[in-house]
Amino acid sequence: MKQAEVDEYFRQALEPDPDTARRVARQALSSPTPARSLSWRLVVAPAMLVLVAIVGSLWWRLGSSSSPAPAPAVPSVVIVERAQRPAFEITNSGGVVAVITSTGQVMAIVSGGTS
Amino acid sequence: MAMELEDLVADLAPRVLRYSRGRTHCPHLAEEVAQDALSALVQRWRRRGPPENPTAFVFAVARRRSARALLRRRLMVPLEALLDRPSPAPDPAESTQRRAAVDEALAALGRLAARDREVLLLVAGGELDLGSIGEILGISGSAVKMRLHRARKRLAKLSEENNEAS
Repeated sequence: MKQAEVDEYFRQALEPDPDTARRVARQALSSPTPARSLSWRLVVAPAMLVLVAIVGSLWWRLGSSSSPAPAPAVPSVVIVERAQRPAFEITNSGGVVAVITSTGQVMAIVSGGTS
Repeated sequence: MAMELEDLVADLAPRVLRYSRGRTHCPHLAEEVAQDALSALVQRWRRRGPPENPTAFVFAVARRRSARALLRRRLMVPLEALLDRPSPAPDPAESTQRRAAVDEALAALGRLAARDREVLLLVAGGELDLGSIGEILGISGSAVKMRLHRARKRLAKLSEENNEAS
């Protein structure tokens, strides 16, 4: 067998029965075209949605945690008025001790005080 | 377009059958593979239009399905032997003489390297051009040409040796 004859030799040797070829072609053409399968609609699409939601949530959390933390709130001190002498008086009413400035503002209430 | 598809499938059917027979060495598996590949083309065509190269599309599918079918058969053979099931009977439509010719051709193919055999089967069985083969195998046209030349040369040499021996 010469090199040029090799292809023809195999073509003839492997040649299928014409009826078989026709049957295969006919069956392929009559194969139904499936619509998007049910499993896609019922399983894959919801699963994709859940996955996207999880990834989005993680992304959001990562984004918010990586932003600079807010500075701790500094307690603001407001000096209302410098007290005149007598600086304060202490009243004791029914076990509640209150410190009242000379201007009448309540500075502190000590609950449950004994003196 | 429907007629175009029908004509194409009718033209491709014997070509894919030859290729699959060479790959699987089994007429039943070859028929199964060819039908799967052609059905894939039909479904693709009806759903999204014709692929860029329908012939390459069909043979790429047939190549994958053949490999899968062979693997499945290799896995099933020990099981079938274990369950004492007979292997599929030869195709009754094939005469003894014809089967002998096919067996001889398949044995000759078996002597080639797998890569060379693939190219030769796509050319001789599938009647594909070098460009399409390159597309299917993911190699250049010149690499296809080289493999084909090597395969033909080796087979011609083997044939000469057989003739001399006989």
